[in-house]
Amino acid sequence: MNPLDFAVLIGSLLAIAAYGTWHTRRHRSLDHYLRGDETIGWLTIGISVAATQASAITFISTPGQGYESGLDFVQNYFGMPLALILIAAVFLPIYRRLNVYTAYEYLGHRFDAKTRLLGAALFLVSRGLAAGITIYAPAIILSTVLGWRLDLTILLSGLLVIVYTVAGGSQAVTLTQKWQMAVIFGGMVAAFVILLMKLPASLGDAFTIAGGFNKLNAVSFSADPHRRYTFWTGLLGGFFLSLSYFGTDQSQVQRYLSGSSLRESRLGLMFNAVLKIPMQFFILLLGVMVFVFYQFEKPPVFFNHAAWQQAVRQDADGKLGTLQQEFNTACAQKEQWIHRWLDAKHAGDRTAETAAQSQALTALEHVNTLRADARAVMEKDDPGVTSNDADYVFVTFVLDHLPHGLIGLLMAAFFAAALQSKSAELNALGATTTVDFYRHLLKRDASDAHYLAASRWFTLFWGLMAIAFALYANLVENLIQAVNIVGSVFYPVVLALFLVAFFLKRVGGTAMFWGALVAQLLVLAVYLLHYRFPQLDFSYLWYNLIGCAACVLLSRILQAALGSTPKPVTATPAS
Amino acid sequence: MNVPPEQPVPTPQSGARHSVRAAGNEPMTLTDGGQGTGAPRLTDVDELTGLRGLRTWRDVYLFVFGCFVLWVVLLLALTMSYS
Repeated sequence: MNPLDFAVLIGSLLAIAAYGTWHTRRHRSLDHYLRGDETIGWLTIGISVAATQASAITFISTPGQGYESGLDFVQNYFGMPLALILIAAVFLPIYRRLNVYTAYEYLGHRFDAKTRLLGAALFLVSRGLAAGITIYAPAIILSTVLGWRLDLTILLSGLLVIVYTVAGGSQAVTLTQKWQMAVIFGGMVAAFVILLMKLPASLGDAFTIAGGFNKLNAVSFSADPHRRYTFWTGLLGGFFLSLSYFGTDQSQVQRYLSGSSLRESRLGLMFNAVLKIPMQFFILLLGVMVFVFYQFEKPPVFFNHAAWQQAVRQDADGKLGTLQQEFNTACAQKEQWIHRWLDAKHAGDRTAETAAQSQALTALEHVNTLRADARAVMEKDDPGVTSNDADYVFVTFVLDHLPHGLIGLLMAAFFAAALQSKSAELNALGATTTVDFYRHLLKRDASDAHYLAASRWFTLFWGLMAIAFALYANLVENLIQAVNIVGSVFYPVVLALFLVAFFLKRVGGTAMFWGALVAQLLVLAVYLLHYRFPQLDFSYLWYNLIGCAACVLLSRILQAALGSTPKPVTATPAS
Repeated sequence: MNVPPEQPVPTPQSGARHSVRAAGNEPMTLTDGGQGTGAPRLTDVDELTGLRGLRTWRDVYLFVFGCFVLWVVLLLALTMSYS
């Protein structure tokens, strides 16, 4: 990065943060702080909902997924449009009628206080954990790129988002998200265009190579439960994951409840229902095209430059140096076979094309084997090293192959993505702690100004907690998967609480509470046991279905055992 | 721990037909959309989509579902073309 890149990076981030802080510096009430400006329209809500979900992980890790595994991750989002339709039709009108600040207030109205607190507590645990991961992601990039200390990078990025979120509340989150999304999509589209211009092959040839190397398998109807992404896991597991995330996670509920009317909130959700799949497809395709680009340009053995250089320094036997040479030779051979493959295709020689493609595939497998060997050596020399480099693929491409200025814009985009989701999470964590715990349990009759101040303090508290968690996080298998796994462990029970509340009128608070508690322990047990019993190692998306079904069934059984139909529960929305 | 009662809690079955407390800038009453009764019993401007060509929410949801099916078909076509 040169001074121009730094100017673009720092200038755009600080300008957006300052804009959000300045425009929202005066809050009249808790309502304004938690819900924002009541003139917000559907497009702003739609962008805000998309921005909250699309963290830095989305724009860093997803191209890495595309590079490694192709397009199949897009199936993860197949259940989302259907879930959003259900939320718009059923969940949203109820939230708005009750005039709630948080989704968990509804549980208090429908069941009882303990069930409301359970739902809110599960949200705080799961979102608190995810908040640490989302702040960790951009810190990795910037610490690698700039050679900064990781802890310093986490602190700086965390403090920046805390400042404008604490100061401006929900409105600052929404305002800054709009501009941050503009920076992100400006950067991503520019990167895609430059990438296509740099490809030595035509777009048709690029798709031929990607398809020939099995990177364009977007849809699979396989019934193999061990296969992580299929049409079925995406449709069923993705449906329940999306239903719980968008319908019951306060970081999302708070976004669409900020709309000026039910219509604006609904249209904001439908905006996401239509555009999410193509957006994810575009980001994955970007990763696939980076893969094609590196078929003509020698890729690094390991995409995390800093970790690789350190490993080479520590490698006394020189094994990594030998592997590097073999890797270079294998890449050159692979490129030759790819050229022969394309030449045969252009000549219309189908037999030669098939033979060359087969040789290219064999060469690619050899290259992948050498990469795996290098990782094994790195892990053997230093068991603490993170051997998964998928999250570094796109960043490495940006740094090595994009022009200056655009590098700064892309770095700003990654950082902005982290800030936009982080700010919504902090806003929601602060709101839930204030409304569902502090105001509900500790201090019921304080003034509005008191609750406004408390909300700011709790937002600050969660921001500092996220920083602390990020400081102790390690690079897990893949960042975006880690976030989804955390969600899949905790969300299904929260979702079941709401589904029972909406659709099973005969289940009361006590049965619901204990059913939910047992179901949560069951999901946690299944997740933890898969480390000991490999046969339980099925796609984490199924946790959503298992946890939700278990919770609904248990609550019904417990209610039957308790014997009496509960009286209709009534409550005040402002409790 | 229970909070004092004040109002009935809406469910999908009950909510559309009950009048509840005004919420922020929400209307005081809710509508059943006039279905089955000939004319709307209650007024709620939120039920109107205000979109040309997609007049009711059912139209909007069908449009979104159609888009979803279209994306899946296109992705399937891409998969089959290059597999």
